[in-house]
Amino acid sequence: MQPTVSFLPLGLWLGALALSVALASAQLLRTKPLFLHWHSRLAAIAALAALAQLALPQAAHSWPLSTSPIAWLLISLVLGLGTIVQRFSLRFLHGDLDQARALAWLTLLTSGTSLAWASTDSRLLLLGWGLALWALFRLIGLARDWPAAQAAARYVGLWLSVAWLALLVLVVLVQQQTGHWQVGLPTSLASWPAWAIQTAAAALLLAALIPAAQWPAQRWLLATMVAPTPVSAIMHAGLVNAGGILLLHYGSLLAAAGWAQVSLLLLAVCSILLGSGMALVQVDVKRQLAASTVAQMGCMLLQCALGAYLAALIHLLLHGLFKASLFLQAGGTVSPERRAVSLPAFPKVLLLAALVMIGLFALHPAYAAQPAGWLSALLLAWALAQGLATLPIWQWRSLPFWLVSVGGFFAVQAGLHALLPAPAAALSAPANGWIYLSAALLLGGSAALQYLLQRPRHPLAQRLYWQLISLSEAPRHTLDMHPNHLARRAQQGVLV
Amino acid sequence: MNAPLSSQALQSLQSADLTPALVEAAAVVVAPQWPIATFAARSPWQDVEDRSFDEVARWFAHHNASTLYPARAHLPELDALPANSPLLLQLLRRWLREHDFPTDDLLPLRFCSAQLLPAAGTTATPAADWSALLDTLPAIPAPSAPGLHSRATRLAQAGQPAALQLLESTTQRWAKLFIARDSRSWGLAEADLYRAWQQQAQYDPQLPAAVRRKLAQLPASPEIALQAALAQLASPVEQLAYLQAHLLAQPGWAGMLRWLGRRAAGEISALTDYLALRLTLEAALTEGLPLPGSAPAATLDPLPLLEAWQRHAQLQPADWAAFSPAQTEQYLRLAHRFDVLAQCRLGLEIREAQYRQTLQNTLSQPAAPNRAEAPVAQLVFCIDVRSEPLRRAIEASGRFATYGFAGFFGLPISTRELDSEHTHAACPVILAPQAEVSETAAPHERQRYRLARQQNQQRQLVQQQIKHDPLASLALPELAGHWQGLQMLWQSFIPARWRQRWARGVRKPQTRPTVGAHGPQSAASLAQQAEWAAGALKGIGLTREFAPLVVIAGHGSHSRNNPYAAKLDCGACGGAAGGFNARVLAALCNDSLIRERLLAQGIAIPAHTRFIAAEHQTSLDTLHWLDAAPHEGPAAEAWQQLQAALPFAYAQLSAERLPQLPKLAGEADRADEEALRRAEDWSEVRPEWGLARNAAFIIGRRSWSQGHNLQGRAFLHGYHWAEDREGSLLAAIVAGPVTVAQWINLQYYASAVAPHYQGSGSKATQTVTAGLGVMQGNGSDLLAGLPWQAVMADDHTPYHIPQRLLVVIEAPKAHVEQLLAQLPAFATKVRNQWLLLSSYDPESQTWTDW
Repeated sequence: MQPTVSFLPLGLWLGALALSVALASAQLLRTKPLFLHWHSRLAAIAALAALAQLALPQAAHSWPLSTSPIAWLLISLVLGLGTIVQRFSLRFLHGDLDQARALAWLTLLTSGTSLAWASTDSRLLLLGWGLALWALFRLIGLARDWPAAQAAARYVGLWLSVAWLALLVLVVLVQQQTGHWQVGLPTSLASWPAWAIQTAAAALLLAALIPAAQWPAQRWLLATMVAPTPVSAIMHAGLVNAGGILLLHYGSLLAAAGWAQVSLLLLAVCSILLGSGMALVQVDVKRQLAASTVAQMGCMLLQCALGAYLAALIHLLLHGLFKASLFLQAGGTVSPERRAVSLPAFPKVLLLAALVMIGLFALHPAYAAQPAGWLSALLLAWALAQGLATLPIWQWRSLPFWLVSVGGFFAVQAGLHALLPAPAAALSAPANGWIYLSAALLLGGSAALQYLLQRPRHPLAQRLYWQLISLSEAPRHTLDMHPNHLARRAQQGVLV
Repeated sequence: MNAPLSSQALQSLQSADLTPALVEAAAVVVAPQWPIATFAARSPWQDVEDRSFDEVARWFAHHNASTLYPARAHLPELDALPANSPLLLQLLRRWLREHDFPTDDLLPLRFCSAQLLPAAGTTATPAADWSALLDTLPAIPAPSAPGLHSRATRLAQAGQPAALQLLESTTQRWAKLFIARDSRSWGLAEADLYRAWQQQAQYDPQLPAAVRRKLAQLPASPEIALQAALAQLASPVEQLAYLQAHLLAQPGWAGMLRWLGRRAAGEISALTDYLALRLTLEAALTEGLPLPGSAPAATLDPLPLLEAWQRHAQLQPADWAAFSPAQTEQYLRLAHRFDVLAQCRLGLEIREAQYRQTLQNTLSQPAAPNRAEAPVAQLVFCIDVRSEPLRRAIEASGRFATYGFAGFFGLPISTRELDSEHTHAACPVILAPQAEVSETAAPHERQRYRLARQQNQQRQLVQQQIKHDPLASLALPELAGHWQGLQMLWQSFIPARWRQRWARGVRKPQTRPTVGAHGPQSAASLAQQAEWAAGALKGIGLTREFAPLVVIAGHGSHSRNNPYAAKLDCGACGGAAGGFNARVLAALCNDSLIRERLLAQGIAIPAHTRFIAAEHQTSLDTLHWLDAAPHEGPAAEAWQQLQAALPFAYAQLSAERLPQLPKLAGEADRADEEALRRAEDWSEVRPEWGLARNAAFIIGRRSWSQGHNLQGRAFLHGYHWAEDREGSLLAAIVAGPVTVAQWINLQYYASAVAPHYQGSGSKATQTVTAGLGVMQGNGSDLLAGLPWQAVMADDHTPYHIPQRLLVVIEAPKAHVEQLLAQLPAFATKVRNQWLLLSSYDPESQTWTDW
């Protein structure tokens, strides 16, 4: 009785996934819409099956599918977001010529991603990931008659192919050295030749950093606004975080090749500052959200580089929900009142942050145990300090709000910690010196930004401003001043 | 097409002192653009109405292929016409007369009809030998181009698009950063666009280094820089047309800068900065590049014209010998002139003429028999086209009379909601508010409301604050991710009815509108308020025989996640819901002191008559009551009767309106559930059609237009000519509501006819910019106009039928002549065909088309 029950979710998940892929492929071969509602329904079934897989005890099986709760949690995130985005697109893209194709490619995107995270065979990982990237490429170039969209798709496709090829190199190298196609690395890499470790580390970095749009690969993400909003939502929530999962599987490579871990750290810190700067200077909603994704992915990769995998995964999960929701609600951001936000003074925030950190360490000693914990505590404390500077906790009417948000935060953290086992530390924390350096860079960068914000006419501030603008603009050939393709579309129809 | 200034005047504009005059003359091609949150209707051609529609059409067609006429494929009226249709011949004759061609000559008529009606005469024609004829033909001078292209555009047309691409992308980048200055914590440091350009262009890495070096030496004054660049790029006679070409390249940014300039240093100064930026950049980019050649041909090429005559009128080479040289030249010029634009123009005119005929026939039919007994309730609605079906339904469901009046109800006020720091000018943009009306409530209630709202906004506020700090924003997903996730689940899976019930938001206490001071002016006195009330009642036509219950209904719409929500609200109220104004008028008319003063003016309101305010929710097809129901007296009885009859009216309204909205396959909800779902769904791109398919503005007594199904396409304003001998009421109606309606009509028209240039593209790929407007995709012009989904039912099927507004007035001919004399601006619009005018003389029962 027991084995049947525990195979049910897995079977259901596989079945739903297979049907989704079949439906999507059938749709792409025809022009007429075909059971459009079923894209979201099948995704919902698969998501629930993945959640059930998480909740029920895992039985051993010989299929190349993961038994790790972390993998299934991520899969249910991707599929759950897929369901919501599919439902959204049913009405949002209604009347669009490309609606049926969009839904089909969205299904292939989420199916490919979930296959990639579920598989323990690296060939399946490559296949799934390749399918997801291909689907993304087709989604960005969805409007076939819009030159700007086609140009953006080609540009993005170039970057994503490099990422996929890097993953291919990594997987092949691992197979060569270990003799099997298992996802993951053996415990000891001592038997590997140096060139293999270096190449594999470099490939891993490329495969992780490019999808996460870290500097210098940030521009592809900022060129994707030609895709419909639901596509952006699923991309920012489910696709860009591939780096975290790859580092989970292959992280020990970075430790073996010493320079790789430090490079990851520095590039992540760089991207955090870059992303935050870009979000401050850009003026349209989708571009700001994309810039903030760059910074958030930097934060996730920083946590990975420090060995705090669980924190990285939780960040990844919550960021996915956060970003998808913001994108889908991006239509409601017009406001009759426009006011610039003025930030509270730096020293005040510093003081409040210090107080919060002391409080945190007192309540949750786990934060003080590892250096990565210090970083998480710092970020959290900084955010709370900003909030408290705006809405002081001693005003009694704001107390409910603080209780709910902070309480909610701790509840979610505790829940996830309970649910997920601590992943085997594939990467131990780097030397303390690097950690202090990254904290110093982050704090220093933030302070410098504040300083420059108050002196906008300073030549340095202006140079930096324009550099940030230039780094966050899309390539010229992906801009179209007027949507001329619509005139052609309209002319092809007839009045009813 | 000549510039409005003579070349002599242009020569004298050369000095920098007169650059503002030049810019002001050029600025007519771009209309100011309001922020999208207060979406006032805007006609893109509102400053060029002193020229005829056709002239402007040809002028704008030269730029950006943005036509003012519907495409030939979208004029099925032409395909349905019989070959000898008298309407077609009449319009053709008018066209020929306008262009100085003979109207009694059959050959031109045959030629033109053959081109318009594709079924006739497109048989394959044998190739003929024209060479012998060509030698004998006179040279026909080609007409000059209506405008000219900028140098970068000409280079792009000649195969070198790099300069144009760089120019356009730089313009949009600088313009978007400039308009967002106020709302960012890190924006462009300068208050003027040109000063920022002059100081910081050297830092922009997207410009080539050589260009940056040149730009580092710009003069400090925008006028001087503009003059210098103009001297380099265009000859003196071309300068005006050159500036206009530049403004037309990205009219959205220019329009927004005009609007922003009004609130700061001035419109012309803002546009001067913009033009200085563009022209100095173009000069720097195209310096040294060889100018593309091809001066426009001086004479027409006769060969294609001869072939056209052969194709459509079967004129062989031998037949041409029979014509005199003057006739030959005339025929050739005709073939050149009667191009696609002319054909589309005729198609549009045919559509409008057919609609006019149908409407006239409808209105000529006897109206529904007048009810003998007095109405039990009188309802005043806005003139909006969406009120027409509701008025029809209400009249059919009981003893009710309806009236139409502009939605701001004649109140020149700015409104302030309870406990808000923000006021809104709740009158048409052509009026200035004279007083401020705010909502007041009992102090403890207001305090409670304020606390509740603040608690609601706290999360928003803190999230905004945290988002803006680089370090803090990294922890934001952890703090807010679960909330957002829950919100997504809530919006996606919980049905609309439950969502509406459970999340009503903060409940507003009972409030009273209170008239207060607006700016430096003192608070409106009782006399002034009585004036407003009197003016409104007279304008409505409700000055005697009051029913026990009078409902004043504004209108508003409700939709979620819609950047264009303000477009669905009342245009007459400055792009907001009209409920506030309705409440103010109802409160004024209920006030006993004001009633005394009204009595002194001859308006006797019985003591038992109650005025109640309501808001017509256009997305839900219901009336939302804003005042407490009457409890006693005849008003209460009338209220009961109204409440009993309204559900039938609502059902009729929904049954008419909802089937027109596109549905997903296999969906069949109940009408009220579907309306609620559309209003509450965050993914719905077509919550309602709004004012799409608007076509006519009817000014006359309701008894004249009552009972006819106008399909929700007509603005209805009440008017009785017999009570308005001097024509002042009619003049007020035409100067105010008709102008706003015309702008609405032209905005829908423009977005439907040129969706790529005047519309704002598909909602799916829009991105809200600076909270003021939208861009498409990765970056584009700041698109004004309506989104694709507002005028199209799907990618291939238009929904809105573009045609110019037909104004129908029920008054004798002399009355209308008096009106045209009183309002020269309106007369100009009619003469230049920016709108059409028809009048019906009730005494002689004849129609006149003006």
